[in-house]
Amino acid sequence: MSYPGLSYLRQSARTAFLGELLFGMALTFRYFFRTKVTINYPFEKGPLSPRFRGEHALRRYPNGEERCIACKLCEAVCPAQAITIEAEPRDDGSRRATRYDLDMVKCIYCGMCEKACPVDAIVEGPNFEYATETREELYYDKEKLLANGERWETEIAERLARDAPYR
Amino acid sequence: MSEPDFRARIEERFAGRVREAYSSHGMLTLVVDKEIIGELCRFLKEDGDNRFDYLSDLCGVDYHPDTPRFEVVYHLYSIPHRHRLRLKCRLGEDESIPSVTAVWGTAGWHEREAYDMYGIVFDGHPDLRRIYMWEGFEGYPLRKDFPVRGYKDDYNPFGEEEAERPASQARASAAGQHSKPPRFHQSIATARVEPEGGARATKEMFLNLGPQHPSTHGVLQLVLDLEGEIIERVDPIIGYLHRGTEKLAEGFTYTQVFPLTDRLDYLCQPSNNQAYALAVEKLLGIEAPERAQYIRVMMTELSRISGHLLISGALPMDLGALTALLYTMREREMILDLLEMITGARMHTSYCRVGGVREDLPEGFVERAEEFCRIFPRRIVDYERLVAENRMFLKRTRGIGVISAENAIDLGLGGPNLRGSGVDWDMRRDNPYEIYDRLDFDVIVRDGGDCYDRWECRMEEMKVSVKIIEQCLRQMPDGPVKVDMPEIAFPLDKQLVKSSMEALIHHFKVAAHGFKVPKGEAYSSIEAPKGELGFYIISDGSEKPFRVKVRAPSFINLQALHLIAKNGYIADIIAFLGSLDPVMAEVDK
Repeated sequence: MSYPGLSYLRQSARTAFLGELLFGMALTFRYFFRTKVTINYPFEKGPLSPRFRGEHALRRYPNGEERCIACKLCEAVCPAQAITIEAEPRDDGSRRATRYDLDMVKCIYCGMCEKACPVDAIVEGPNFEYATETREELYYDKEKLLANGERWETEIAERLARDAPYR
Repeated sequence: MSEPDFRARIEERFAGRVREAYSSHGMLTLVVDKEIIGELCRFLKEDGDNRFDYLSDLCGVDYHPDTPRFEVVYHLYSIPHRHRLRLKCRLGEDESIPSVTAVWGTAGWHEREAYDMYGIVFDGHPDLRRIYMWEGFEGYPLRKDFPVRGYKDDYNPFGEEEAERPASQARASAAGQHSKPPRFHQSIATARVEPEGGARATKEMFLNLGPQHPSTHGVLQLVLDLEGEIIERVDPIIGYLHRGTEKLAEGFTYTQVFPLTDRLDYLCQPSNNQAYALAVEKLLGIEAPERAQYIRVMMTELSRISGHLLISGALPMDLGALTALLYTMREREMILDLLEMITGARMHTSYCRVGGVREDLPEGFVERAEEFCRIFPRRIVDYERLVAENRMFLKRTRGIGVISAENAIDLGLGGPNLRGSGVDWDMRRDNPYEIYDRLDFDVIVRDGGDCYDRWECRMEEMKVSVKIIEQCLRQMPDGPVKVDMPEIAFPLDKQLVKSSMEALIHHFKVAAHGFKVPKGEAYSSIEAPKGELGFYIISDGSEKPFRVKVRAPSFINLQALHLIAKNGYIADIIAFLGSLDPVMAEVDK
């Protein structure tokens, strides 16, 4: 069998001096002295852009009032039908969700809820480490989502500010 | 030859048999009698002035409860003349239609799909079996009267009640007797037994490769019919990943379909998004702003590199050379980081929108992309020395799995699989869409048609893609990234929603109900990394598509396996499969 671009002499030389093997070793050797491309994951993490679509959170206004007005746009736009909302007016006459369930097992992280929300209440935050041992723990309710919002508010606000010119 | 010319010739030759002829979104459509379809297709393929040698797509459509109920739609393409034609045949509930498998080999799986999904019977088809659903499944899922959830049985506790099943979806078993559905794929060829004393009674052996085999790159089962080490026949069993994308899309608004398209070819989602967006834009008669077109093209090319990187590392890995994959994955990581930077997701980008893209490029992207374009070509040299000059790899791929140019066209192959066989056809150059006509790039063609040539085509295409990205970065103008049509797209500035009542109303309408698309049909295709990716969308004027047909290139490429594997060695089946580069999620839709 002939190899294009390889003369008989070069072929023989390669066979005699284990050409392919040596080149492979040389490449490995070269990278041996370079900066590693792998990271030591739980202790080191790669960069995330402000647009990263991770775990959801419901946000509050700075005065502590929850943002969600239960307009149900996120429920309507969700392709996976992962969101269930029930609402009724509160005593002060404002409309707020009594139930905001998000099935994280169904969610496909497309980010449409975030785009649809007119008051920036539901957002996809930077957190991607929320694996659980049971499915039930992934059926998020309003309390869990609001708690997420409180936990991640600093990061979320910073991300929103950084990405604001493009939204 | 111009459109009116071949239209006149067809009408002259088949006078009285062409029921309707009209042009729809730039494609001539002929509605013909089903009796003449075989003869007409042969005429269109072989007549010197037409040369419709490439069957792009064949699909069924259900117009229930209208009559005649079904329609079979053929999308023809002529590689020498670069034009398209759509044929339609209407048929009633119990009618069958002649098969065109004798004209184009690629029709084989297309017709099986239409049979599986709609129950349309193709007379003269050599192997009319179900393709996605298992043998013994009852009902035809894409028919309009079949529920999205299916019917309740042992395997589907969430389905609709059996009692509501209409007569047209009736079970084959006697009424009232709800026998258990058979186990999946009971009647495939694995169970075939030669009669004792038959000619091949003693020598042959069946081998199941997959469904869980590391080199099938997904869930694919190959039933191999072996004679010693030689493969006599290969029967790919697909459908393990069938999610019913087309059925789901019928229940979604046009915007909600984007995440579904992400999940077709999960190595190059931006190109799927782009193809779908182009088809809907064609129906709407709009065009994305220039900047958005550049962004889309750039994203598609980035994803082309990422898809090609994976397979050009995976093919040597399947053949035993693991090293290359580790290096290609490193570069793929750079692309995934870029995609994450733009879209917020590494894999399922869902970044295109009808009329543009979701948001503008972030600050700092251009510099990162330029850096990638600078680094990447140098890295390709490493792969080439590692793999392309490796004589073991050459021995495993050169002269193995040869597809001739004629067969490649007949089987409807696309992308590097077609160009590796010496067919000089690339939609980016020959039917330019978006801004490809402003870019200067080469089309890579290799003549051998073997596994190595297909692999080499991909390697060279990556270099071409880098050049395209560089040109995009240079030429990209400033400006809006989506159309200024509040009834279709969210406003460019979300703050507007908070200050303008009108913008808020539009925002609510678009988010909650989507937008209406005028009645009509459009086929739009792009040169995806795997070949021609087409979307055929029929709109009934509502917010949801009436029918979405995906012309999935991997599905069609995989069909060629039986041709190249015949009389090959069993050890080479891995090379055949890797060189065809099927992505099972796209094959199974």
